[in-house]
Amino acid sequence: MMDLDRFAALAEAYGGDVSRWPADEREDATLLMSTTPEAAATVLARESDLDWALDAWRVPAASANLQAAILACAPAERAPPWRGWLWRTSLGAGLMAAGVAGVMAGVVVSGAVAPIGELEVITAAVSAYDTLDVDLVGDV
Amino acid sequence: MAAATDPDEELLGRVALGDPTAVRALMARKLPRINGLAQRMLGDGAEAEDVAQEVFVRAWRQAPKWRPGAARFDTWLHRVALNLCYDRLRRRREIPTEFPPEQIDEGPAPDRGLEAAEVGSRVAAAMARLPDRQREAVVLCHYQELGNIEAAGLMGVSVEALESLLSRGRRALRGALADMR
Repeated sequence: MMDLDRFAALAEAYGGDVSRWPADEREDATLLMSTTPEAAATVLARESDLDWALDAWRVPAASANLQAAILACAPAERAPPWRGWLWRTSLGAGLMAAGVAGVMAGVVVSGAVAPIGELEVITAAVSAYDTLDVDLVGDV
Repeated sequence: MAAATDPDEELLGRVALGDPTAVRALMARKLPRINGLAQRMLGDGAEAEDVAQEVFVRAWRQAPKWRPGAARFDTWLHRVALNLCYDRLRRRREIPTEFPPEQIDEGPAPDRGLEAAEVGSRVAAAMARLPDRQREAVVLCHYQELGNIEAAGLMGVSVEALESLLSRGRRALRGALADMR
């Protein structure tokens, strides 16, 4: 069972808000507040005044320059592992070249055998692949 | 300790991968706390910013190596920040500067109520005059809202010693601010 001396000692250390006291002391403190409410309230009021004064000390927020400096030295985003592997082996470039060669060969053969209307469709497909090719090269 | 429930663990894992969203989120979560700690320990904005920046440099470096279980990340950050603050406080004692960054206590404002900003500057001045360990105890428990076990652990003292530092610190502050009532 907590006595008033211990209650006052805790208030002097941790302030006038019992919810901020050590968890294992709070239940006994609440009990004491119910048995000797006036004495407990006097102790808490004195410490609450100090708490209020302490809370009035506001410090400036971190400046934008500090935030920028912190972000500037943050870890860089890592590339997915497959991208590095492709780059190292040059397989990506090889695959790309093979793909383009295949499509071009198809155009030549199609030009020889396909009617004019179908040739337009094939030409459109090649254009789309060209766009894809540029993106992938940039990404690698 | 409460490593299993470390609220920063998931974010820290993403920081280690360089996820820019996680980097920003961790900074937003921790910078106000670390900045407040350094400002209140040192009483000097420029020095506090240097400390905060160095804390984050070390945090970014630590993220890929972080192993949950030993301590909470927030506790680790506080320890790094406190060590850096103490380095600077020690240097101040060794090399007295011509213009120490001590804040001037202008005393009570006569015949008028004190505004919160005035109270704040009185508190800042009173805190600057506290012995370092008492100030540290008050900063950790009141401003950083750390529990007594965590604060005592950071300071390397027993809970009883922490309570003693807190009581003496708060008593000195109450005395310094008594005329404000």
